[in-house]
Amino acid sequence: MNIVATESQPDLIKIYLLESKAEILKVIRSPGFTLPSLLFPVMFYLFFGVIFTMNAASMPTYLLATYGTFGVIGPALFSFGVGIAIERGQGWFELKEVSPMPASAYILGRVAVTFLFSVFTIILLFTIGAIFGEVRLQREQWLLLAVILTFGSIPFCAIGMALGLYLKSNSAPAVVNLLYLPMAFLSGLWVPINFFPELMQSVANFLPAYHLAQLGLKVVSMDSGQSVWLHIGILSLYLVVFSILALKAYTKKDKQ
Amino acid sequence: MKIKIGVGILIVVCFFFLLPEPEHISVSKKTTSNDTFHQSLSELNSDFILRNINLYDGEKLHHQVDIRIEKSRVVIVGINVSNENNLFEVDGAGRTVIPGLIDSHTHTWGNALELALNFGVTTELDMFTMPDFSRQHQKLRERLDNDQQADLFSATILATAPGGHGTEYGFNIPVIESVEQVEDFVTARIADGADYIKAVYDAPENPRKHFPSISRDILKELIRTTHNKNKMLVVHVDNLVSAHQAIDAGADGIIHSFMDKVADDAFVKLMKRRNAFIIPTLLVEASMVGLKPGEFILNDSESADYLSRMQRQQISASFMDFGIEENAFQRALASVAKLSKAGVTILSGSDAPNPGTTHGASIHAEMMMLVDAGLTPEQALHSATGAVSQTFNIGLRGTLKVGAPASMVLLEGNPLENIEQTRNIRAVWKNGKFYARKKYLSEQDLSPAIKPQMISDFNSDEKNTAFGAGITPTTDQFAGGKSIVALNWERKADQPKDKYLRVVGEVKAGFAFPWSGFSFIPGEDFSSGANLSQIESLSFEAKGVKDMQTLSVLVFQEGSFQPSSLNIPLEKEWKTFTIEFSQLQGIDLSSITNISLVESGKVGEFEFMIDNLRFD
Repeated sequence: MNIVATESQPDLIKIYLLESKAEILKVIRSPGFTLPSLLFPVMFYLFFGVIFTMNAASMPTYLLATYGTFGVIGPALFSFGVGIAIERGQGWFELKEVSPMPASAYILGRVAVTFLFSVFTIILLFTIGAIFGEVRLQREQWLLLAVILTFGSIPFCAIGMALGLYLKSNSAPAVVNLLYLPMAFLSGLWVPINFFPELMQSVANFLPAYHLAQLGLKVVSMDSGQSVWLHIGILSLYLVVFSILALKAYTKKDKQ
Repeated sequence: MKIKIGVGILIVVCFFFLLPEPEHISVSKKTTSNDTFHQSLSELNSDFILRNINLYDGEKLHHQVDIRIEKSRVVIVGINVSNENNLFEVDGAGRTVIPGLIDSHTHTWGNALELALNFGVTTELDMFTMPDFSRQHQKLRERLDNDQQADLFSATILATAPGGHGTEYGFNIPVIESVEQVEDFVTARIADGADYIKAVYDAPENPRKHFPSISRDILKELIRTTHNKNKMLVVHVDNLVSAHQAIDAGADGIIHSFMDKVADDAFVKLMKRRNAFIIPTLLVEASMVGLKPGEFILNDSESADYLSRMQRQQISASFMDFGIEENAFQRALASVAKLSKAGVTILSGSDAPNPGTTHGASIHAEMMMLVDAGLTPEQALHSATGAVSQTFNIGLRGTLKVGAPASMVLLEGNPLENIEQTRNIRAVWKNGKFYARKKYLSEQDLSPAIKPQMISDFNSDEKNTAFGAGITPTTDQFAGGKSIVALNWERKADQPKDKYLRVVGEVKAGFAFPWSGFSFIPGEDFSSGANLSQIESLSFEAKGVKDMQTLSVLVFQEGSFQPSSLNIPLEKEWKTFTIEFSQLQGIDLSSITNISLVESGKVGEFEFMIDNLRFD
């Protein structure tokens, strides 16, 4: 990026940083979002992955990847889906639109929130997995799993953004939850997918969360053996389709 | 703020360096679900480490040890074995490794050695087969790459009297009528490649006579001559007095735990003093009195899938009624108990494929019978591993000592506590190579049998056939080769209504076994096999264009890429060919996926014509 900082040109990076900082501060100060996003996956993992585990040798590792997925898609869907819908309801979204800040800063600010929460969730989960679940992975595996999970939240940001732009502010939390929780279950994030009947297993193939979880499981050699490219392809497809939907919703809203 | 971000990233990085790693540096990190565990086992070939296992080396059990295999041989067994060369390794998670099993009494031909390996039997000691068969497999056993079948040791043709036991099977075998013939007989057997000599003996004192027998003098001469030539002599007996006389005459061991009497103290002492061994073959003894103790294997969840249809028939088969009362079998058990208590060497042998027994699977039942007779599970396991190694001259087979070829079996549980665990096979290695156990379809899974009928008269241009997925081109491009082919439906000059299939193509170098031609898929698709069990033969009319042109007929069965094949010579005139399926070796007709007629081997352009393809 060529930063030719003249007096008249604003420093983009600085805007991004400031907007991200403001967004993060806002989220941190609203514990109604922070605590559930962080605690839910961690609590679930502690219960089902570690304490009531069916197979102490493999379950904690398997569920580390799947609850990690659960943990990163939550903030993505809520920060974008619910966050945007509420800000639209409050008129705050319009205010930001007319401010000189570029729209990309608005999106990046929320991506920053999602990433921050993802990293926090991952750190918590990994700590519990390592200490209580006795999960032992190679350093590359730990890192790769964390990177896949963090960046894997991007398609869900797009999904969240489209939802946030379509949904009304009062219905958004309910709708997002209605999508988030069943999708998590059907994608095998709570219970390993191979415990499901065949039909449900094939349904999972259409869900983005399933494909992100499979990518994570591939790192620990516990995936169901499909190609990496299939998973990446489907996740990219979701990213593209929902980005287009979001753009459509955005321009439509402008015309009104 | 940038500093804050930097510090944050630093903390996260530090966190990742604090996360724990596995203790062993291994490529496959953890014992996971059974599927992935099995997957990682299949990657252990030639050079690898198996960690954290209980290992029975043929003599004793080592708790929680590692075994390192290099160049397909055992290099070290110990605790925390090092891995400087970064070999592939898997955590066995407390499972048990035993040496590949040895069946000390079989009759081996056909695909018996593959059937054996499918159940973890890595060595068979044959006790009568034709030298034409044994010779080729005895050569193979010297090779470390002989990893898709068990090793064979053989007595070749047994020594018996004219009309004696062994002559009833319809083979024209040499027999011994006089002491003078013994020297030549033994010399001929050793020339045939016999690793030891087997004789059949029935003492004149035995009141029940089934067959004529060689005389005691001939037996003595056989023992003397065999020992002079540094070979062992084992004797088939079916009664105590014959067993006593055989050992007394100097035989190294006896085969079959006789059922006429329980071994008396004199016999037990004699066995002990002469350091002789017995191969009781309890399973086949039970079968002779009409009992079927080995039949449970047919429904055993760990074994059933791995039995071929032929094996199932063998296990269910019965002897003709010999008129021996059922409780005579108890005497055989009692003798084994007495001999074992006295410390006489007992070896496991199945006598497969006699009625009630089959290669591979039956040795597991035999070990159970030995435990029933009073052996401990460890003694029973020893009788099929280390004890054979100590008795017969078979190298380190049956052990996992340093230098032994890594022929071994990974079991789920501990067979030294429960001998039934020997059937709980998780992996088989033959000479260091992971052996993919072959699974067979059960009767219920078969599709309905196809009736004899015309497959295609090629009179329509359609690639469709009367049944199945039709005719399709096939070349080695499928396997990465470069051969090409085109199928044309053409009219005959003299009979314009009658069309035939003209196959034109070129076999090109580029794959180890180049081929080109066409396939008929008898099933619904490429992967599901058709049930051809009611079909006896495939016939077709064919014509070539060159002298000395041959056509290969390849028949594939479900789950196998190894076809059974037959070459037929084409002529420049139309000629009808009939391929009897009975000519094809080792093919299970109940699930055939593909019948291909191809040019193979010879590189170059080719052309052949086919008409009226049918099943009869």
